[in-house]
Amino acid sequence: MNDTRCTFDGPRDEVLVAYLYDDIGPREREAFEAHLPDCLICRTELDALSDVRGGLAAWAPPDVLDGIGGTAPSSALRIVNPESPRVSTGFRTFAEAPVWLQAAAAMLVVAASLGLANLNLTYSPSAGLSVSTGWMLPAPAVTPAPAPVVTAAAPTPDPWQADLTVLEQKVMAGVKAQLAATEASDGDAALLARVRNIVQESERRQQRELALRVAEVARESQVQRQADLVKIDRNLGLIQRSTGVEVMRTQQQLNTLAQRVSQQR
Amino acid sequence: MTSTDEELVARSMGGDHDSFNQLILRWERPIYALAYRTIGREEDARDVCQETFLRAYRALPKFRREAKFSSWIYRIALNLCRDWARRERRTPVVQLPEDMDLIEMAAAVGPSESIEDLVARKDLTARVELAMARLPDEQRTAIVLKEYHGLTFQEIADLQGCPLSTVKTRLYQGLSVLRREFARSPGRVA
Ligand SMILES: [Zn+2]
Repeated sequence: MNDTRCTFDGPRDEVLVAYLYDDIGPREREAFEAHLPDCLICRTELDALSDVRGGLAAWAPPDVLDGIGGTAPSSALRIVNPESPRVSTGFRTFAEAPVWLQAAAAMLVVAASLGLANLNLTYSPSAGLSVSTGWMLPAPAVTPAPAPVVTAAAPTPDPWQADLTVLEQKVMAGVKAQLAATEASDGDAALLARVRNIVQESERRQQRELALRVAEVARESQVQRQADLVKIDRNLGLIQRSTGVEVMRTQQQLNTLAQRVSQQR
Repeated sequence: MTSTDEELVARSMGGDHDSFNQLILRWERPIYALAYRTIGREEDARDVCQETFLRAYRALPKFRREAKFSSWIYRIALNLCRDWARRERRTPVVQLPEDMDLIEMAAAVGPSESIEDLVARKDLTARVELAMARLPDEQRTAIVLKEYHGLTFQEIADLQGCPLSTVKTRLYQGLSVLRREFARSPGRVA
């Protein structure tokens, strides 16, 4: 028995912490348990560190959604794959659709209803575009701004990216406007409920906008196709008319020739 | 019957979004808790949590099927926490509990007490948070992964990229510092 000095043979601190967490090999455990009754220092320290662990147990992260809204964060972050942009496009095959539309159809919408400041919409599994208000924006020259920033990862902007950017800006502007309107709210639960509604509404609006744009493109393409058909019609008509004239002229020439021949006889 | 993480990952890799959503459902709380205890800010922890799953989803094709999904997702989250620390150039923040009335407390505080003492006296959680926030990153992360996530020393060593013995030393040193911190706090924690 030695009350002033620990005589454990081995990496005592490591073994002690391994014993404390019960993450220890059988041989080390045996050795340490044989040592403990004889070592007041180790026993005291083991007790103290157990108490520290007890104190650590008091530290729970704030569960915002449980605390305020009463629901688990299960509605917070989900990957969804909206099918709607595919239907009623007027394109016979998917490959005929414009590139941006294909991207929209394949897009992923990850919506966060967890909080106001970190609304995060991301449109493309291949990291094409993302909107975020948090600190994880691709670092620009300035410090992270509180306002939403739209970033494009692709070095050369495709036409559809511009379309989506416009959509995002509209959605974000709408959300921000509504958030501003609800700022002087009467309770956290009510506020969270409103935020949820806003986020959902913004998603619906976003999908509606996409559907509108899809319809627009389809209509434009339809109009263009009709215009092309008219043009072709007209051209065909011209060809037919000119062909008719040619035939008439040829017939007249033949007639004239026949007359001459008969006259010469 | 509930699917294992590995089964869900396999289905996610096959394009089944619902399976990935199940993985999110299963892991978002631990990941959020990890992020919160590592960086100390609710909003940023939520950002980290979101970004972790986004990155995981995008990186699914690169996921090695023999790997453990939880280790993979922890690694992504810890990398993001590290990015956060670099970006913010600061140590974890301690947020005051919302129900804490500082004015009322200031009236009750003695002249020799600091604001930290004040907070510590009022709220046990804040005391633990303060003490944890003062630890070096590696020690804090090792403690968080062991204490709150029940990882093995080996798993922590893999995540922290250090020898097994280093993990144990980090834990021992971190806990020893906490022991001293708690001992000198008013109204001792431990
Ligand atoms: Zn000893």
